[in-house]
Amino acid sequence: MSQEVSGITKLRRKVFSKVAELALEGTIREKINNLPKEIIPEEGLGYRCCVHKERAIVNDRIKSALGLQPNNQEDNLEELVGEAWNLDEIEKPVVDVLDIACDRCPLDKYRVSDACRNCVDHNCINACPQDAIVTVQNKAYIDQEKCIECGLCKQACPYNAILELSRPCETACEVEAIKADNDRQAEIDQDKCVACGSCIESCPFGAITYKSQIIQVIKRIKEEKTIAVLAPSFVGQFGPQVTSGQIKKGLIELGFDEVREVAVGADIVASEETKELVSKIPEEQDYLTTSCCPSFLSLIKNHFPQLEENSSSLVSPMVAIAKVLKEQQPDSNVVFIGPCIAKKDEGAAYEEVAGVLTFEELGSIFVGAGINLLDLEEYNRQDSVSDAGRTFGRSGGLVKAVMGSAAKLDSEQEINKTQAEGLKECVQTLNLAQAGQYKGCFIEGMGCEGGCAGGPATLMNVEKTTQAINQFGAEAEVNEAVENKEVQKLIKEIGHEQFHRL
Amino acid sequence: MKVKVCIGTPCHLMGAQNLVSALEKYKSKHEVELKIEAVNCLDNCNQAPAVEVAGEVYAPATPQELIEIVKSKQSSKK
Repeated sequence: MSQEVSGITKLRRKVFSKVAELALEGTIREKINNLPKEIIPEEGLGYRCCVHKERAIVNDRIKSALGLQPNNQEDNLEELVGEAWNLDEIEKPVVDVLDIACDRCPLDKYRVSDACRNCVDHNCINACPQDAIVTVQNKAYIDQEKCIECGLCKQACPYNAILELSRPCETACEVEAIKADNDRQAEIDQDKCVACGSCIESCPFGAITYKSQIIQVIKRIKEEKTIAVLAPSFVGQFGPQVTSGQIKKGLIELGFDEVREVAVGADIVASEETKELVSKIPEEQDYLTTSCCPSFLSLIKNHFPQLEENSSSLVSPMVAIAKVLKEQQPDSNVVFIGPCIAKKDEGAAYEEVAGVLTFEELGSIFVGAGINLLDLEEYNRQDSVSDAGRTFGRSGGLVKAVMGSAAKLDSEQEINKTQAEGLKECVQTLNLAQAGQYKGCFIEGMGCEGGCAGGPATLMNVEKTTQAINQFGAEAEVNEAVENKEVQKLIKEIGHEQFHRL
Repeated sequence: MKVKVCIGTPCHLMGAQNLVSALEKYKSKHEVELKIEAVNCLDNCNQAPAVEVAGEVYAPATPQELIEIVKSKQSSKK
């Protein structure tokens, strides 16, 4: 997240906080039907035509916050709470369009603006292969029935008088997964979507959202032994004055039995991935792409399936630490907390991961619980992690970790490296890979600009988080993952094959 | 003039950092005398984010709204 916290984002967080508050105090069933009225005051927020529509939209937002389908026909929230409370896994898809909130933006892609001078040349008319442009009232006019949206008129106009319009959600989506249906209603093609969350941030009507696991995680905390694992980008998420120890303490206050850093999992992954890299490159394959970012991995699976064999075989750090904890404490539930929406899909695919929360959801739970992190003491337990593990979640972190460990293991071998941040760059890089442009190369792919530090559900701006991550890394006792003796011991005990995907 | 910005967890979640950045930008751009202080809580959590401008507590919906409040307070002082 780099931009300002928008009104839409605040509304989503308010809904999350209220749902968390009711779930924590055990009154969610009785009070949930009153929430739309509580959140949207009688005079409305002025976002929509009337207070009724605003409340109807919030009603659907609440369904999504409960982890259910927002467009579900059942509008009585009280009826839905029981179902939500007993959900074991998140219902797919994670990213949904709130149908009634979608404003059905107009589809006409090219329009003539007032800058048209009705010039003598009429380059637009000459350029149009469909004869779709005529002059009406001293101005060019595009017949939308004939227009095939080729864009030649726009290129031809010397006054730049022809505007290209596109829906913010379509513009934001780098994998062309969101389209308008015949009713102009936005629709997500789940076979193409990589759950990056770009469309959620882009829609100015707030018509796209993600399913939360707030109440399912609260249920776990209340009823079972639950361990929170914090993604490396957690440092600084709650403001520069809140220490990492206070964030961990906040989780203990909520009722988690233990808090661990996913950086331990990152050290495991970096160690194993380094071995894979030096054993496969350049003999077995030309390049190796990383497998930690679920959006990048889905991008390969859904859009570049022929490149999948070049993906690292490693699980992600989230799955690695969950496997370790489940091995050590089989009766525990591991809940991952991070900046990412796509992780919810990934977590659902592994039985070792009991739930996935975003930093935004966690912040909302803190608010619902009345916890102000600034008032807390430090949680003192420290994990044994390397600098490389702690900086894994910022752009360039994977390259740094794996190349750093490779240098410790085998300094002879020369390996090239490249990194892609943001889905646009990832697509470009994979196109180049497909064209055979990478030889003897390690390719880092992260779906968000800035890496996980710039994830869609973060609470701080990406530059500040990156600084905080680097600082936190510098405080680690060792530099490289392979130098982390405890992690090497863990890999031996549990068996390195456990950390490779099937 | 003193502006206190609450950076407690509820206010942080509702964009307190944006308010701090906006104030700092306004201060340096207009070279006004403004003492910006980050505080733990202003006891206005339900309407987060909360700020206190010259002793009075407000709940600005946007950074722009806060700057307007600061401006009007400054001009009323003159």
